[in-house]
Amino acid sequence: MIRTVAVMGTIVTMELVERDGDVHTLDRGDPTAALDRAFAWFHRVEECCSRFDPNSELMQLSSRIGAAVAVSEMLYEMVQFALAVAEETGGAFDPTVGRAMEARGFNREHRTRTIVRTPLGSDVDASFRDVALDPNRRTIALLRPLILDLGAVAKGCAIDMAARELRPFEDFAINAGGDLYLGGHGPTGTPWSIGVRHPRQDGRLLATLCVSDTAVCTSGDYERSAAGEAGHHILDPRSSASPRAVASVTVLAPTAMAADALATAAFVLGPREGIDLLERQGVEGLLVTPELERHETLGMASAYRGGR
Amino acid sequence: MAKRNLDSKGGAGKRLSNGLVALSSVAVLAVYSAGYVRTRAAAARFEVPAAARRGGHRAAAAAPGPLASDATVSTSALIASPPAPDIEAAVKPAEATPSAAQPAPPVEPSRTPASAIAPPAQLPPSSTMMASVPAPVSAPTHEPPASAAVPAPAPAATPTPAPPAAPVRSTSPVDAPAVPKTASPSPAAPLYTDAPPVDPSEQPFVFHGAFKKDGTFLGWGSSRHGDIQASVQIENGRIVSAVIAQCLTRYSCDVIDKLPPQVVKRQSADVDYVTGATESADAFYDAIVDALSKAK
Repeated sequence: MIRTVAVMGTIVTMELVERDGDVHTLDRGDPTAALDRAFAWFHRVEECCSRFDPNSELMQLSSRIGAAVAVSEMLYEMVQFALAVAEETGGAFDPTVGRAMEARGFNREHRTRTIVRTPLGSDVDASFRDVALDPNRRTIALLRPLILDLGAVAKGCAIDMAARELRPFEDFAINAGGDLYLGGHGPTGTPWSIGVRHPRQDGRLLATLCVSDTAVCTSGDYERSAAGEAGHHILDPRSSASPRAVASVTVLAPTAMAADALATAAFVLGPREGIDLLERQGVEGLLVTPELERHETLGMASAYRGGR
Repeated sequence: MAKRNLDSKGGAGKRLSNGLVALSSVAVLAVYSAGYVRTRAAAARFEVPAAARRGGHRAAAAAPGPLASDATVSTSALIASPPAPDIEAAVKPAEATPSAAQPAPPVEPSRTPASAIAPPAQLPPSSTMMASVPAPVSAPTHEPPASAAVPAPAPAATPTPAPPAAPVRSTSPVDAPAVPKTASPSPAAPLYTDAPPVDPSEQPFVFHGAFKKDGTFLGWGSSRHGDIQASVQIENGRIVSAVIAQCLTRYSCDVIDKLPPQVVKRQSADVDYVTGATESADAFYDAIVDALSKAK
């Protein structure tokens, strides 16, 4: 059973592997309902943290500078996680890059094709340190005018939520625009076979992985180039420029939230620091430079199909 | 060279390790749990018996609204989300926050190395028990509150008491002291048994109304590889299908043209899925959005 929906600015496919021709067993529940719920999380996440909808909770928060705003569990957790990644990476990953993203042309609303400009005063110096969380009251306060961009974290979160919904079925796959979660085994009864897109040659694969119960997320410089300008969609928050040392980073982690955020962070940090980060966080990853030089974590070799 | 840095594998760096992974796991659980808590509240307002609600899924499809942005390839019931304004109140942050009474996470043997058991200071203490994320799905408590159907607090559901204190976040989401713990069933509990399909999908996903015109609409989307045209069919203001009508890309279209059909299967003969393949999807998405703009 497989279903595809366009949501969160990308195409999301979910697949439940059918065994013996039937995924619908009593103890697992109704697969159709499970898919409904799984997709519902994507909509909910989008609704919560779209940068393009002024009514989204995220943008509402951004419009109340200085105030401690009580937020939903979802937004709180995502922001908290994003800040933790920012802290861990010394700001190489920073959820407050929204302003710079907008300046670089990433302001097109995919749903309506309108360009958004947030009417906030620009504060280019704002960083993740200007976001204050109150864990007791579950509030978030933006201490300076800034726009939170939860892109990587939000998509990861939606994938993880969907994975929880589909988990009773054991063998399933979620593909959100090239960011994946693979549960159990593929249709052949063996671990999922996953290709890593080659950053420079369309149709070719850089590597083939063999994975199970893991998220696989990739940040590449080939994603969505900025409107009318050189550069890709990932900015170095510390310089507001597009990093050039990495062509793509693929990260394997237990959650898509972690995989996606760490892939983005490693992309910004570059080959050496990037791999260091992944090792430190106990996840596996493969990083490729524009010269196609490969860097990988120590344990990555075990993820390649056929032992590589 | 980092890749040969053994020290980082087993040394001091590693102790801090899994910090973000564990934190993300906690976040996943907290968000997921809160979803159910809120859903239960919403379900109470509906006061619809489980069976009726299940049957109501299709009926709800006629309801105005939500999911206008869904270019669903499958025509099957997408997400039943009866737009009930009063639910909105239930999910208002102010109310949602107290409802953060998290079902306690089922304790799961940690699959992560012992190192993860000593999370960095800023981690919620309870992160230790959720180091492997997709923890057994805690069977959501779907029963209407009227039946006081809070699942029996299984022992396993007792959250690990806070270890000595994480300075920064001494109050973790799963350890909110003030709120009574809503225990979740033990991992052994059957999943989704006769529980109604209450879930996030019952939240109103309101997307700025339905489309005004019915019919089939064409739209274009571009990528640096060329253009694709999508055909979107709308009935009763809702998208019932979206397919690629034309594919004018200069390289083989095989990634794209497999996207729209309901059987979105393999992106390549050799592998099940490809990571990092987003661009074509964007073109398809744009094409759909373009088509939809004509239906407004």
